[in-house]
Order: sequence, then structure tokens, then C-alpha cells
Amino acid sequence: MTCIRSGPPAPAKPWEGADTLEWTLAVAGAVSHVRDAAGRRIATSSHDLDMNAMMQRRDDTAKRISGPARDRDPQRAASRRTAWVLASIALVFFVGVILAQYAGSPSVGIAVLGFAILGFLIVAIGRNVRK
Amino acid sequence: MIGAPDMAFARMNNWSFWLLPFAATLLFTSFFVPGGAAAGGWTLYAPLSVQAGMGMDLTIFAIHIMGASSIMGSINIITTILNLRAPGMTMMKMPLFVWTWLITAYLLIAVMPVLAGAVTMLLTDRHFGTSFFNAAGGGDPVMFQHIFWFFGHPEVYIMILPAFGIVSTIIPAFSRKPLFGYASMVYATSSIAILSFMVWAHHMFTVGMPAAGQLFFMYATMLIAVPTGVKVFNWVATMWRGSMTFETPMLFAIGFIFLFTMGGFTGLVLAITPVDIAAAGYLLRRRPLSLRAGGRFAVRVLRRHLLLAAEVVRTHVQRNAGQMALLAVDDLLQRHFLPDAFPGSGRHAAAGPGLRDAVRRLERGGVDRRLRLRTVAALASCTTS
Repeated sequence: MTCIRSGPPAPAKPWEGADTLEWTLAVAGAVSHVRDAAGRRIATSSHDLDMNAMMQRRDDTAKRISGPARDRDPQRAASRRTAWVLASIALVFFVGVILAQYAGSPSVGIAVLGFAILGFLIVAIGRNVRK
Repeated sequence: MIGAPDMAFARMNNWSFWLLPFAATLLFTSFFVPGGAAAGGWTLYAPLSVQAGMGMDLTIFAIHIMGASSIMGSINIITTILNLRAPGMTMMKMPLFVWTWLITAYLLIAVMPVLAGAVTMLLTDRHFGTSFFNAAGGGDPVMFQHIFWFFGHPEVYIMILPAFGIVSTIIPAFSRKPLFGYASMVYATSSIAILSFMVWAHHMFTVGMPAAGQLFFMYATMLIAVPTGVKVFNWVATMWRGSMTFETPMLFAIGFIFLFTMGGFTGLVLAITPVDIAAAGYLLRRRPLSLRAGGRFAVRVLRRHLLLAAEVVRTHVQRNAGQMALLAVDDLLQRHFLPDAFPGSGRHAAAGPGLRDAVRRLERGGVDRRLRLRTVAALASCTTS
């Protein structure tokens, strides 16, 4: 740390092809811990301007094809699907433990629940291990 | 850690957090209602919990809200990890801390609804005339214990698995070596989680169960020592011949391994049914040694590491203060929990009357010296560091 703090200041063009030091550029979107982190890139060159235009066209096309804004991102749809599956599992366990008691066969209920959890863990984690 | 810009559901993340203060307020309010706080112990065993006053209702609602919060948080964590990993970040490339959180979240999804179901049945027993656990109406109070511990034992791992993840991240960093046996760590963590669903009745050996049940739960409990041993071995093997530096986080991590191994060994001994029956009181006290001490150490490991990484800890004085805190916390924790290991099974077999005597002395105005010393040690260990 001593050499960084007390060394000579870095030049404006630190290496070949660099426009400037990266920390003198504008912040490209929100910082990583806020929810709009993956925001639009800030153009700093003609190439970036082209990229921004291309991304805008892609967004417009997606909006036309998918309808409502919240459905246009397949990743978000996948996340919602996963969340609903998990929520339904929680609901089944909640209702299941009460029904098992109500039906008067608690030990069978607990056993079924136990094996269901086991199967769920093995399948859910196993399916994703190779991805 | 997985390259995601944020959690999958940011608003739900917010909700799951802000439900907690509300639930805590509800829980604390139970101290001030007629009849006082929930008088069924932290396990809420029936029939005490069926008969207790209004404080129990507030506690049940607080548990429901906390359960909802935990489930929302878990859904968010699992969805984020499964769906929002950066390209190329396969599951087997994730940091171990992420793995432990993934498995913890699965455990929460599986067991929190079971606890919620149990307290819902308790609520209907109390106010809607059902008899799930009310023996007077033909219910089975012991079944509440079974359901509670079906939640309660995995909950042990819900608390300690993230601590495992923290330690598995810190030790390689300060040993300048990659973690030894990454894949085996992942499989060991998963095995611990799966086995945790099969051992709940070892908390209930003294309640009585068929010999076959006792044997099953005894051997299943002993089996957990295998993946746990794998983890401890891997941590030590990571340090072995590493270029170690003993910064405060590393010292806390080593302290964690020591305390957890000690607490874990007592678990192995207490898995033996006859020993457990003789030392039933100690089983309750063993839990804090491995959990509270281990978990607390791990949180400190993380905090110290973050302070160090953020260069908040710069001076020798600050580093020495951290190391003194480690010694103080370790010393106070040992003073608080270790005496329970020595008085012998005779005392623990009579743990109930002993506790009642202590309470009577407190009620008479005379504070038991040992109790006072341990209370001070516990408070000091909480506030130190």
C-alpha cells in the first residue's frame, strides 16, 4: 500500500489504447449493491454509442413481442417460476403437517414429509450441480 | 459472490427484512400483557403452551411472522443462486459461503412451514376447541415435541451452516491456499443437511420411545459426525503447510474450529442413548457451546475480516484490541459453558430440581453466586469485541 500512496502519480494514458484512467470515467450505472445495478451503459466512444443504440433496439423488440414490461425478461420469468415452486412447497408442508395430524396418522405423515423433503433436496440440488 | 447484480426479488428482500422488527416487537410485547410472556419455555411444549396466557398468542403470531420472513428470504436466496449466476459460474465453482447459504435456505423452506403448522395447531387448541396436543381432549402432547424437533434439529444447522461458510472462506484467505477438498466440503454440507432431518428424536430420548426408534436415532446422530469430521479435517488440511498469518479473523476462525470440535464431540457422546438419558440436562447446555459459541465466533470472524478488508483496522493498537477481545470472549464463553461438562451426570439427572432451587433462591432475594458469575460472564461475552 505504501508504494501506491506515496509513489508518483499515474499518467493520463497509463497504457497503450487507454483513453484515460478508469476512475476518472463517469460511473457506468448504479453501484453493485443497489437494485438497478445492471443499468444502461454510459457512452464514452462511438463504439459505445452504437452498442447503446443496439441495446435499445433489442429492448424495443422484446417489448413488442412479450407485451407487459415485467414479462419481457425471460430471466425474471424463470425467477418467478422458481419462487412459485418454492412457495408452493412451503405451503404443502404447512398444510400437510396439519392435515396429517387432523387425519389421525401423524407418524405416517411425518415419515412422508421427511422423505418428501429428502427427495426434494436431492433432486433440486442434483439438477443444478452440473449447470 | 456469484456475479448477480442484486437479489432476484429486491422488494421481497426488503419485506423479509422489515417483518423482523415487527415480529420482535410483538414478541417483546408479550412480556407486558396479562399473564406475562409465553410460559412454555423456548420449546413451547404442550401442555404448558396450551394453558399459558395471552403472551403465548403473541409469541405464536411472532413466530408466524418470523417464519414468513424466513421463507421469503429463503425463496429469494435460492432463486438468486439458481437463476442469476454469472455466465460460467457453475454450481461447483461457487464460493463455499454461497453453497452453505443455498443449503440453509433449502432447510428453512422445508422446516419453517412445519413449525408454523405446529404453532397454528397450538393456536387452534387454545382458542378453537381442537385437541391436537391437548391430552384432556384426546390429543397427544408428545407429538408436539416430535413436530417441534423435526423443525428444531435442522434449525441447528440453519444457524451453523452459514458459520461453516464464513470459516471456509476465511481460512484459505489467511493460509494463502485454496480450500482443501472443495467438492467434499459441498457434499459434506449437503449430507449434514439431509441427515439433520433424520435425527430429531435424539432430543427426546428421555420422553420414551421403542428400542428400535432409539437405536435408529442413535446411529443416525452418530452418522452426522462423519461429514462434520470431513469439514474439520478439510479446514485443518487447508492450513497445513500454508503460508499462514494470524490476523484477528484467522484467530477467531481457529477458535471457532476448536470450540465447534469440542461441542461436536459432546454431541457424539450424547448420541449414545443411555448416556443421553443420564445426562439429559447437559444436552440442552451442549447446544450453546457448539452453536452459540461457534456461531458467535463466526460472526466475529466475518466482522473482523470486513473491518480488516475495509482498512478500518489499521494500527497495532486496534489489532491488539481485536486479539484481546478474542481471548476475553473465549475465556468468558468457557467460564459460561464449560462448568456444565464437569459436575457429572448426577447433577444433570437432577437438573430440574437444581434449577428450581436456584429460582427459589432468586425469589427469596438471594442471588446464587454461581448463577451471578455465569450471568456476568454471559453478558460480558456478548458485549466484548
